[in-house]
Amino acid sequence: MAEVLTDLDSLAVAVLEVDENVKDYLDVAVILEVIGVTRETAKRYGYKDIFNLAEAVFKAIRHYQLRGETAGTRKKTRIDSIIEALRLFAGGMTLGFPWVIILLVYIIFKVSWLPISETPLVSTSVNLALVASIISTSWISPLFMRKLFYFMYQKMYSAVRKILVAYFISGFFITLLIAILLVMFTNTLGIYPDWWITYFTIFFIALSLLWLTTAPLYALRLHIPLILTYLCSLLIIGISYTVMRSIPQKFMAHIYGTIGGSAIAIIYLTVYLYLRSRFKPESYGDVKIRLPFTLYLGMPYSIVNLLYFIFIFTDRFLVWYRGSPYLFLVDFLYETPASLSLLIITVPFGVMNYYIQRFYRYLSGERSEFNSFQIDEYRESIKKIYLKMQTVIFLSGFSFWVILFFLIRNQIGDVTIFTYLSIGHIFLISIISNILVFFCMHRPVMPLLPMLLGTLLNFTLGAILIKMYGVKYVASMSYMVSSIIMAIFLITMVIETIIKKIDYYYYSAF
Amino acid sequence: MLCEGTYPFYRGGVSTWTHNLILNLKDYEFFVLSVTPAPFLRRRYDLPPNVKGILDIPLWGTEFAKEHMREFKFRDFLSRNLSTDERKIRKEFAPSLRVFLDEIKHGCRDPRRLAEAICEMHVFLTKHDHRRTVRSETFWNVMREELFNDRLYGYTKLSYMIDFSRILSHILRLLSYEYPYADLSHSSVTAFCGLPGIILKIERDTPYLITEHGVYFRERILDLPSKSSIIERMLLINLYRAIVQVNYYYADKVLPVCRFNINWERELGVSEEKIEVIYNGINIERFKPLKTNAKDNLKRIVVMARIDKLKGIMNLIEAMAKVSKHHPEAICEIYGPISDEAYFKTCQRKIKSLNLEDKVLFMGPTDKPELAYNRAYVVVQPSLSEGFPFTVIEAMACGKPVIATDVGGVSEAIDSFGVIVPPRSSIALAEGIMKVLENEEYAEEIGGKARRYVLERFTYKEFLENYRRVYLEVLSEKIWREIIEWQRS
Repeated sequence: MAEVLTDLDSLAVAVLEVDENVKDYLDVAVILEVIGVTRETAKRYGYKDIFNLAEAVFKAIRHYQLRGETAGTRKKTRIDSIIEALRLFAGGMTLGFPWVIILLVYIIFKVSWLPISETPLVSTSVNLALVASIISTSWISPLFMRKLFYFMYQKMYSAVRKILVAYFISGFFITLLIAILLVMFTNTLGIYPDWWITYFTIFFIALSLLWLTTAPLYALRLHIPLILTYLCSLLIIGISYTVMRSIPQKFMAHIYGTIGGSAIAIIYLTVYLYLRSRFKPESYGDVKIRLPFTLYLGMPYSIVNLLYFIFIFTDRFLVWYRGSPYLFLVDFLYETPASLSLLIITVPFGVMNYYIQRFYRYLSGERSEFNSFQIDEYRESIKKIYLKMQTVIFLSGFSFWVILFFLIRNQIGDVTIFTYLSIGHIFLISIISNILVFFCMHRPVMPLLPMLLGTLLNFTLGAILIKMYGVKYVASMSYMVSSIIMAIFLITMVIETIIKKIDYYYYSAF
Repeated sequence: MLCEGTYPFYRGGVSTWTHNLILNLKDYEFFVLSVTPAPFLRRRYDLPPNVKGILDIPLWGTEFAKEHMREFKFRDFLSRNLSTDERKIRKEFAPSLRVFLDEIKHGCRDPRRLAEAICEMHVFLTKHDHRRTVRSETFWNVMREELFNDRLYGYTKLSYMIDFSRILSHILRLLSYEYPYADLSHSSVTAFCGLPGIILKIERDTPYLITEHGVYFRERILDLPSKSSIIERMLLINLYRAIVQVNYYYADKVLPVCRFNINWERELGVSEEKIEVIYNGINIERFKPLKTNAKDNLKRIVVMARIDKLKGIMNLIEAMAKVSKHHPEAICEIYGPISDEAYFKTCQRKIKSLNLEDKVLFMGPTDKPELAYNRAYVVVQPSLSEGFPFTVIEAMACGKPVIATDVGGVSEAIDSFGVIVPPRSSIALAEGIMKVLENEEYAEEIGGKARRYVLERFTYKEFLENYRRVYLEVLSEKIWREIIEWQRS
């Protein structure tokens, strides 16, 4: 090819055909060699060697180079942006979706995910099992999920499988151990009847298994299978109800449904990993998982998760606490507005998901064009998007609360409880968004203190208020107050530490 | 033996060279230090018995350096972690990091200064926790002061600089390992894996050799993202230049595999007396004319290359369109793994659009290349860039006529015993192929001559003798230096 090129301009055009963005003479020298220009050719052009020729060609190339043009990349249209925003919003909503599905299925098909009982004692066994299972499993998955993410990102699927197996085995044994301890504890108390302990234990184990198996779906953001898990669970319950007649049998239908949901989640994860490893052959050999390193990394995440769930269920414990004749007893008057108030989280969750993704994109510089010396401007832009996220979370939360209130005001029951808890939940979304910022920066230790103080405040304030006013419902007020305080604390912390040095935290997050 | 991204975890020319050298220098014991992108990679070669150990240094894929090593205990990690704090990093690590950055941003003005900084960082990182060090505020502040606030590099995009800092922090993992004792270190590439060789040279006066297959610096320029700005490219080029320069400076000998590389080595400042060409050698007992089971009347054009842009497969396909018009009996068999999936798909589309589905066949990788060559009527090497390709001399040793593009050391390998065509020209390649297809006598003649040429110049015997001689030379020089020093003292 070089033989037919007779002047520097032709060579320059030939070089530009290979790479239109050559930046210096060494780039040119490489391409000249690639297109077959030899030292002899260079000599024929009257140059000492290929590097001399490259310098001359580079000068000619400058005339041809068009600056500031991008080739082949389609600019994002407004419609693209809207579709993406809707996708992120919907993705965020699915984080709080199980509750919405459960509620919708109940309203439309009258199929309840948990057994409905008129008796407070029966309800207590189920509800206590629900809360206890959430809290007792909440700390197990984060221990492993950091590493799971890491290996998933590296496409080390055999390592992902090993992590999942270790997680499921330890999760199963920890659940069994906790179940045994709880049975021993309730037996020692001697206040609950045997059937109550049996119900409690069965539900505790079944629900724990469901949380354990769906946790990786949450972690890997597999929203569709997550929804499918709950839908299948509800379907099994619905079908069982049509077949089964007696009350104990119907009770068991919920267990079958819960275990069926777990099975779906496990089957999905297995197939998901199998297909990935089957069609993307790995170049990895025997991947060794070092458990101490895995647990060391996961520990702070685990504690944050545990504190988070203790925090959100503190009001329930305070309300249910009776002392005698039963230690805990469900209060139906509290349960209805408390359950309905959970609906509030869906919209702010969607908004949060959208903004947290934007926050990440701004961080990575995908949307900004700051030069390295413009760090202050970069920090300022991140602060703006962060404050916007917080503002929109609150605005969307309060707006949706008004809408929700008018939609379901007849079912709410106690408006005060609903109001307090809803406001608390809106601030809870802000808390979660801040925790996600800390997690994104891989700084899980930082929110530990505010979360611990917030949980202690929630419990202490709730206990004091109940003692002062003698009304159980004030626990919802303590939840709201402590949520507000914790959210403010975390927002201040993020602004004063993370955002102030966002460049450093972002760099060191990986 | 110092390797990067090659032996024993990846197949390819450099890995083949390393394996052959180790396997056949039975009187030497080797310790392989392999820098890899990720841990737990599957070994693609059975290690010869004279390999006494292997240290795999993954730059990515684990969160902590050494985490993948069974012998690295968690308690050791904890004690290192606890002994690493901002004060220590500021006092003991930051000054050498500053020098290191100052040198790399200028493409290495003083190799001795750069090497000393590397050694000091090595000393610190072997005693302290790497992750904590590179995640420290001190590390970040030094990066900012040296690079972000630089009058030139300050104009790079901030996101680019953050990514660059992360890459650099991962590269520094290499310095957190203790290297084994060796009488000699030999790097198979002038890259980051040479840093242990430099450290051993400075700390223990261990002689250091470099064999250069493709010129590392040149290949990195080819790899640079063309969309990045001139300053961003300059930073990367200067990083590579610094690493290459410091490697060349401390190498006792630079051993290119072909004369083509010398141009670049000279340009990068290697003194003439350090350079010596040692051509690759092949196993002539394995690569020889063999009878194969191909009993049809097809004329096979065999290509032994991974499916990658640099290998010029697209040009070959276009050439085949022309060849098959005149020679319907010609089919092309391409042996090699797919390293670029997107490119492979583009090739498949091209084949379909030219109706060559039954003329160009992707055969996948083979463990028996000698059989593939022997099935061929002609062997083609259509690459856009090469060092000194084994595939050319292996095919020649099998007595096959070779048609190859004039890149790297290909013309040195073929000399006048094959057909050399310009790269990126499907017309020239097609003409070259047809010239051989149409003239059976000519094909046989150059095939025979090619085999004789290989037997004269590119055999194991000569290849191994050269390396043995160089090893002995540098080792005896070291002993002389020690004797002189001992006499003085």
